[in-house]
Amino acid sequence: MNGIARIAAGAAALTILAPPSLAHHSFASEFDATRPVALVGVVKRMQFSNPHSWIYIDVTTEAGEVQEWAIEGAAPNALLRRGWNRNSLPAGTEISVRGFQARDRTRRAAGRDIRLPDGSELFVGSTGVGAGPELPD
Amino acid sequence: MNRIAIAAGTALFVAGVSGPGAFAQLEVDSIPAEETAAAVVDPDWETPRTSWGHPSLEGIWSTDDMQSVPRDRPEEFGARERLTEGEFYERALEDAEERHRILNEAAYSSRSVGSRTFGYTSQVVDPPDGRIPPMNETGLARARPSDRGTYGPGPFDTFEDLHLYDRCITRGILGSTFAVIYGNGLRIAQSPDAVVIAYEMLAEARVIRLDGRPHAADNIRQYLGNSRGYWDGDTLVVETRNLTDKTSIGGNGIGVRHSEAMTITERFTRVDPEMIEYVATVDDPETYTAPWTVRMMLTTQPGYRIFEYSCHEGNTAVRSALGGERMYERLVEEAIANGEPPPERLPSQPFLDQLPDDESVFIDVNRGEGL
Repeated sequence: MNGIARIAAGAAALTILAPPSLAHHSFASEFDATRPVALVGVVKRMQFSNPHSWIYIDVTTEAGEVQEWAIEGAAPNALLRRGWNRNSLPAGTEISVRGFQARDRTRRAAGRDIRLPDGSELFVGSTGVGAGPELPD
Repeated sequence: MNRIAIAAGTALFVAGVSGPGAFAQLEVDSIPAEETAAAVVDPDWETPRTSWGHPSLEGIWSTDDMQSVPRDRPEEFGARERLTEGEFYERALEDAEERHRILNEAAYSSRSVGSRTFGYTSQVVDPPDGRIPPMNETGLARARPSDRGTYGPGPFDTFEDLHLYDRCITRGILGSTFAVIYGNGLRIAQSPDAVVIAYEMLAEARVIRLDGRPHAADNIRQYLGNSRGYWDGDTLVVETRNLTDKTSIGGNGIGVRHSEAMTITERFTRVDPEMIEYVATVDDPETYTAPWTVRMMLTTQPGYRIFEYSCHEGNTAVRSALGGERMYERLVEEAIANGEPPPERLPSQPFLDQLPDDESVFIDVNRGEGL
């Protein structure tokens, strides 16, 4: 495609946008809008599953306890078209997350805002309309 | 050239100017995409054909371009089917800005975008007001909160209180076709005696026989019904019946629960190498006060591939909705036992509110406040 200009994607932060309407499920049926959570943890693995991806992180509390939290993200089918793949968020990456805790109060949250503290850039938008980048084999 | 380039973030309209690299450029359609179709602009255009001579509908298509065309026509347009030039320009600019935002600015966004702007005022083309007719009494009597599943008010006491998409089962024919935030792809494959339509999201396939055999017996009921097709000139006509009353009409199959009496008649016409005009008539006298017809353009999108959509694999909607409701009941019991007012049950909503601005309200998991 021509004409769609590239803009510099020097974002230091990786931001999860507000989930638009008509996602797979209603977010408020699963997550508690009155329980915003903030957590800093280390990525254990990214589960690249539909209808939602999950990022598993280890969160070490000030008391030294290591808690595994699961952060819900967008659908892989959508992420692939935006240039993501299952290796985009490698294990060991420290991320800070803001989101809403699961309504059943387990260690799960809907991710709304994810940042990489080291400022490294994880994703650059594709440049063609509707076109994802070449996919890995 | 049907597009103009303008600088992002300005109202400046500079036709044909390719701006300096430092400024983002938006590609804005200058005329409605339907007016660019080969069947419209080229009197000599001929429908592509398969090797055995049938009109070819084969390929990977998507309804992503329909995202900016409202399903029901806003009342101010009345019986008018096309946008004016000014209205079209406004929509085209919004489309271009949204594409730019999603493709170049947003990371980790799940929204899919199209690449063309159509000038229709609505997807519904009949009745003449472009709006799906009201439900009749029989239809209203059948409606249940569970028709909207997690988007409805609940309560969520059993898996059957969630709709079939929450449960990764089906979105129905129209629910699989209306454009939603992603997964709007479909693949069409043909043989001399059948057409197969495979939807990307929920990965269902319909085999439409063209060999003149009758529909399945009336007691056979399927989520996607039983389809028979024939060629009317260069148009594929597909008649579907034998549907269940378990799917609903709406985006993702969330909405009006129809009856077993519903029939859907679809017409597929290739109007361009990159466009199929898709027109579907819904006739369900046990649900709606009148039949109605919707038109969607199935189009190609650059680089679009059909991806696997194994919905059960990562689906936590059922567990979370039911578990969340049980937690709520526990909190109510605890409050009553403690002589406190019970907590308010949160309304179900399609998406969560914005994160609070007030830092102090966050539960700080690293400080051990998580549970």
